[in-house]
Amino acid sequence: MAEAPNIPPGTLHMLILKTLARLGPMHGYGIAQFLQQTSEGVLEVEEGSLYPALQRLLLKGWVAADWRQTENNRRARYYTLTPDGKKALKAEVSSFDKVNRAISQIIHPVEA
Amino acid sequence: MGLLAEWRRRLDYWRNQDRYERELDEEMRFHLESAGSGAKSFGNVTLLRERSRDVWGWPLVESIAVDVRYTLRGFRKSPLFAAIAIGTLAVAIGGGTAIVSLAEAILFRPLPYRNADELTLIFEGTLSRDRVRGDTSPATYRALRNEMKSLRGLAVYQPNEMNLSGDGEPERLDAVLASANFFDTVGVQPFLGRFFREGEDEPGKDGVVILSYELWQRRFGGDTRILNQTIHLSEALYTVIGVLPPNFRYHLDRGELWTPFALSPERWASRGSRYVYVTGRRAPAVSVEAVQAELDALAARYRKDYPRECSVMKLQAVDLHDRLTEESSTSLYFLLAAVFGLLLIACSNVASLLLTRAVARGAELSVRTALGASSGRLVRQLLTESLVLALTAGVASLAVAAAVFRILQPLVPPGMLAFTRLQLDWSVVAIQFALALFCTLASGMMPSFRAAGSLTTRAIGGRHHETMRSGLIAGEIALAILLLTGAALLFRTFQNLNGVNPGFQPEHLISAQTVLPREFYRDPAKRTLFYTEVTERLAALPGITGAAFTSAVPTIWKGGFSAYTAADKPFQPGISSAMMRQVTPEYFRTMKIPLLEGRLLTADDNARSEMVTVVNQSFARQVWPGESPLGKRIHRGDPQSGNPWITVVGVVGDVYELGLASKPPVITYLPESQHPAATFSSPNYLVARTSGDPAAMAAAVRRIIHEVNPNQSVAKLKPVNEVLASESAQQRIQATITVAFALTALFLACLGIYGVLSYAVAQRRQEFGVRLALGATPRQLVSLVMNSGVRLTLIGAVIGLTAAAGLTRFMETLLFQVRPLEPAVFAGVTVILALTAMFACWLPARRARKVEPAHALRYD
Repeated sequence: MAEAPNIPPGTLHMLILKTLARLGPMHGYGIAQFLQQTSEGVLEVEEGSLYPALQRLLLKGWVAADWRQTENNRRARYYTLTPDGKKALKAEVSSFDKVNRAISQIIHPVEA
Repeated sequence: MGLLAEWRRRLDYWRNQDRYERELDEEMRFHLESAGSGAKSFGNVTLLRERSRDVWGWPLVESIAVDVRYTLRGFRKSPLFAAIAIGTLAVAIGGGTAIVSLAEAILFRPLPYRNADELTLIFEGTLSRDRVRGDTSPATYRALRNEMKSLRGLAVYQPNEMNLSGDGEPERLDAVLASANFFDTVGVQPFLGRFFREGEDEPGKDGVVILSYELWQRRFGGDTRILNQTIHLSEALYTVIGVLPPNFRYHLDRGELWTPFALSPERWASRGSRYVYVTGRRAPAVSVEAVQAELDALAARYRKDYPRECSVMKLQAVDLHDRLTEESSTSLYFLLAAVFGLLLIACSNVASLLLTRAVARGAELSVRTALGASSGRLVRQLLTESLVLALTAGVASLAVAAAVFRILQPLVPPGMLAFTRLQLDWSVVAIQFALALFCTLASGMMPSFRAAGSLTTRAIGGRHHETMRSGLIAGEIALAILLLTGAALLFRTFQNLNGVNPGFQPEHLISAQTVLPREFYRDPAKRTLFYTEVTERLAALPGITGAAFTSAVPTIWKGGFSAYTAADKPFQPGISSAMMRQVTPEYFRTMKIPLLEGRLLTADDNARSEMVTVVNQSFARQVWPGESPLGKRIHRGDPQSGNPWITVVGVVGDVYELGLASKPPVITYLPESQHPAATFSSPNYLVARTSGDPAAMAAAVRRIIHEVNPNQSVAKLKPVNEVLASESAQQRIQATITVAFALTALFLACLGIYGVLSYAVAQRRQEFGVRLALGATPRQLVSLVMNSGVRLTLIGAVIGLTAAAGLTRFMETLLFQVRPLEPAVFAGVTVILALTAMFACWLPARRARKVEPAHALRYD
């Protein structure tokens, strides 16, 4: 995606879902922070992509949103993985793995 | 599963868009504050918001919505364009839908009987006629039934009327007498109970009746316990044995009650009196022609075997559907052709309008192309425009179709009325929108491709457009003049029919059907007393100047012919036949039928005096050409019948009893008091002349009749003018619709000319400016513009008139007292077209003279 050159196309959804699966309910800012830190700064999510992506996940029903207080006592929208979202994550991860393996086999051929 | 939930969430978003956006804004704020200085990476907040909204949207739907909004805005900016385009399409599509669905229902839909295409009718008539549609005799039916091989299940039936009395008000009902095998032949199952059994159609066993579904519902509340009950019909008891399915009728527009056709042996033997209809089924591979060949052979034998009654007999087989539709099929095909022509004009007009707009908007479209709009996107937008146009027109045309349906109603053949529903049902609406879509494609595709194509290649307004538009306009003019010619011929026909003097004065006349109950016929004197009392009391009323009884009001009953013998002339079978009308003495004065010779009937011509008659002029001319008929003697029936002699005492003017378009028949008028036997010719109708509006006297007429006899049924109480109007109803509808179509077509064609010339004037301003500067006069400029319009008109008119000359002969059967190539009609149409076209040319041409040379040169 042109607007998120750092993240391989089509993987942003999976990354968000995975983040929520690991952290539990989290707000958009938190998701972005987590992705950046966990990837040691390699994956930088542009907010211009993150929020539309979150909206799309809401639309698909893979995440649910509600407003909660943060630890600093501020209001923020927290996203939670739904059962559908869990299923979707599993499917996306497995297809990602498949593609990833295929790509690796081409790029790093196993020496005979 | 997921998709449905997704749509639900989408809908929720659009319903609560405000809340969603507020939440998104708050979320952004939270993000920005948390990130602190990282705000720079956030980019364009508005863009972000839009992108989030896009997630929830329907991109295709929205871009179409944009096109639609854009189109509507365009229509608001040029309301005249929109109104004309939508209006013309609505008239064309609405009229088209109504006429197409009427034609489908009448011409193409199978009749509601089992294997209806096998059903055949047999008519009897005179050998010299090509087309024979008369009743046949019981004896002939029996002979045919025993001998015919090409038709199976021959059945007989006869129209009848019955008084239903008992619970509720006595009622006069349409009825049919039918042989026991009739329903089996027609192929219909009882809704309830059973039909006649073999043997029930014999005298004494025929006290059974089958009800129509409608009568059963209306009169007996749809109660199934009616079966095996007895009801009072015309002074006799009948057992109800069955109920017919809804809307059942066969051949005739009657059939509330069905009773067995039972005759005494003497009547079965009669070949001379013809009053029954015969129907049967052709075997699957047998054609009507094959049936006709067999009938011709049989009729030839009957003519030889029964020279007295059948010497000029002709039998004719007609397919049931052909018979039902033969009076309306030509006019339906004509209307179909007319509405198709109008549709073509409307489409080409809308195409031409859209083309003009596309050209006029060339600059705008060029800009959009330059800014990166794909040509596909532009085509889609132009198509959306015509689609919106056609769909709006489709909706508007629903109203037009409903109105046209109402007008068309009388075109439904009477025998099909019961099962032919003319209403806007879903199939009609589907036809409507299919037509609308057709118009969209026909009128929208061409300009949109042209417009889109022309954008990339060259500047707008090339010669191609003009050639195409000129072709369209010339075609429109040709079609318009074709329609105009047809309409003018039909209008003349209607006028001619209305101009026919029916032989009496129908204004200020009211009539009613008053069939006397049977007990009145037992004593003829009582019957005459009833007539005298009613007519005298009516005549005494203020507002009524005279009243009389007659067998039938003119044109209502085109039958009642019987043979006569003149004392001093040879009897000619089949030709010596006259319409017999029984009347009370005041009939001629009431109707204002002029006396030409001798005297009228008087009250002194009664049962005890010499038998007399008054004949009409045609009768006198046919039997005694060049002689005075006064004092001559005739009698009913052939020379062997031995009926008493009747003296001719007067001659009156001809009356168009057979309809306004048919020659008046020969008639003898007989005083009812001298013919006591109850026959079809007994006086069944009252006529009264009023001094004011006849409809206003209806209540008084009914009251007087009931004063004389409270149990007397009174039906069809209406002004005689209305009776006559129904005679020309079909011509009136044809004329109304085609004139409306033709005027729309003419208007559209002129609009086309106007459009082309206005456009040309606008395009050639510069050229005109130069011409003016070089010394041309404004007048020359006007004629320059006019010339191109005149050329178009001439081309179109020549094509149209040639086509009309070739095609109008197909209308011949629709016309009355006007020839298909009537020079006056063609000349009139040409003049009308020439004048309107000139006007349409002159309006824009006028603008050419207002061109200011300096201004025009600076222009652009």
